Amino acid sequence: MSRSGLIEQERFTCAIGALQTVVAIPRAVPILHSGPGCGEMIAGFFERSTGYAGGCTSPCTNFTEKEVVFGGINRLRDIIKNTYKVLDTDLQVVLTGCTAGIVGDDVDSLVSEFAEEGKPIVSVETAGFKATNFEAHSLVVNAIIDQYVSRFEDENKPKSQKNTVNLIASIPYQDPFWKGNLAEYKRLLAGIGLKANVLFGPQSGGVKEWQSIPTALFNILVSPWYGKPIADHLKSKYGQEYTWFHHIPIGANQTEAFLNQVVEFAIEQGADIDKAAAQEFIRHESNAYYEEIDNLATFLLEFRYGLPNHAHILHDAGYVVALSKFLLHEVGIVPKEQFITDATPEKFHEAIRADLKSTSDKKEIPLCFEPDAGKAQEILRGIHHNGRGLIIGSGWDKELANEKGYDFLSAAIPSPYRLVMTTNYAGFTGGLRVIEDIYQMVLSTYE
Amino acid sequence: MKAVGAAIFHHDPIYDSGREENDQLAQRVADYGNVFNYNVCNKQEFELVNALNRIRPDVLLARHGGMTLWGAKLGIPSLLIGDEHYSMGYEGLVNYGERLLEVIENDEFVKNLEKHAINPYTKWWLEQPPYYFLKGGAGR
Repeated sequence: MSRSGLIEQERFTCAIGALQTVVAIPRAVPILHSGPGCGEMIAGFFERSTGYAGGCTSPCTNFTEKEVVFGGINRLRDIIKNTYKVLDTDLQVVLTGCTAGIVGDDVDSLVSEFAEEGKPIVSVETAGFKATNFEAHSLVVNAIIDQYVSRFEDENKPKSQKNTVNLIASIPYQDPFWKGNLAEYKRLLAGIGLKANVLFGPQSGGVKEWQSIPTALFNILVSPWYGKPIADHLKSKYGQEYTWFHHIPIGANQTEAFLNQVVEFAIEQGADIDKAAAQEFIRHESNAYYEEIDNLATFLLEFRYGLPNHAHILHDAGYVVALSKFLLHEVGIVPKEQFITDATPEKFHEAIRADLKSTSDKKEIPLCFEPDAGKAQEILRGIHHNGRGLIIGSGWDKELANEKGYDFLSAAIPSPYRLVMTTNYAGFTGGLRVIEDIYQMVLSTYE
Repeated sequence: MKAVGAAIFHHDPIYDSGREENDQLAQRVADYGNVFNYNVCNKQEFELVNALNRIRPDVLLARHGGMTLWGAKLGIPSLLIGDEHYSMGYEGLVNYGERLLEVIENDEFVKNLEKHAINPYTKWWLEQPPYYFLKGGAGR
């Protein structure tokens, strides 16, 4: 993986992009101690990302020369004070941009002035050069846990709720299907007898839910790598063990594996699970799913005018692995060269390669970790396979698909070619939705 | 490749132009050998399923739409020959061979479907010979 100074076609953003993590918490507000461009850039990258108090509503100190020379702390103090007057919010998270990071304002001390007054305010250093938003997501969540959630431990005793779990999964806004995915995980987990704190989006309970984080008996991490620091932190802070499912469960095979893994773990941890009822729920969902596939099989096998027979995916590790497994076994589209564009830290590469390899013991699926998506496209441009192909990626990849005469499905950000609101790709229904979306694109090419 | 069975929709009772030279089935048997499990049925799916279930070929070649479903449900790689001229000539033969290879090698979808396929046929029926209901058919 190249760590060159320059990348093309960004598919993720800098650390302050984790302000969207705050926006996804009902009634929370990110307060930026940064230049005037940061907030604009982030809101523009994510699209439809304003939420309750995000976008232009978020206060920002608009760091300029004056603040660089004389320090911006007083400006920040004013902004925070006035935020309480102007905006009605349950949680405030102060995030620093590059300039504040370089200048060395002591934001933590300032924020603790307000915290000591009992204000629900948290401070996180998210200077852009520090990390990507994938990594900063964990920084922000852990900061909220340490500086806010920890204040409510007396009424929220650790591991006191036997059937409650915290779910660490889709990163809000970075995963275009985050809202639908979180809602679907919540529904599926309820089906097997667990109450999941999804923490973000309309299916979550806002700050009250965050306060109850310690009460979960155990946690569930659904991710190839991002979010792991949250699970680890909760384990060391509250003694909550966690079960780790290494990619997004898309389709029946993976969703069944996921739910069975959670059922076993829950029982091991001492949750109150009716195993028979849980398995009946899983069976019922699976039967409904296969009824659709049964009806679909003839179309997949016989459509005369040609369907894609192979696919390339450019996405984060969770989706690349998930879709490769799903497409091969449940749709009959062969995964060829794949590209992970989420700037995965080196230490996770081996495990992710192993996970992808486990897809098939007779087919090799070449994998390239390449955060410079321009480079990834160059490689893909030079690859040729027989038959009709499918590219699943972000808006950046549509032209490449046209060049190659391939079908294209928009499933990653940024993309001006598709509007995703509450659609889920995770779960049984998610798998069916992927199939609908792929063939919608394919069939629309026929006249 | 060896044909281990066939489900044919119709068998004409007279030869084209009344000429014995046009007995294509005899020609085929003479050139390439006998075809066991040669069933003639007027697109009766229940007979086809019964036969497929017993024979379990490595690949099912369909010459009519709607027939690959049961191969797939039994985990058998199935191919619809949509265009009957596809295999004409030397190049056609090579194309056809490659198509066959592709179907046989990429069997993950049918193998997965086999584990979850919905089967409305009774256990009893699948134990009968496929021609059970035909005139002169044996029965249980």
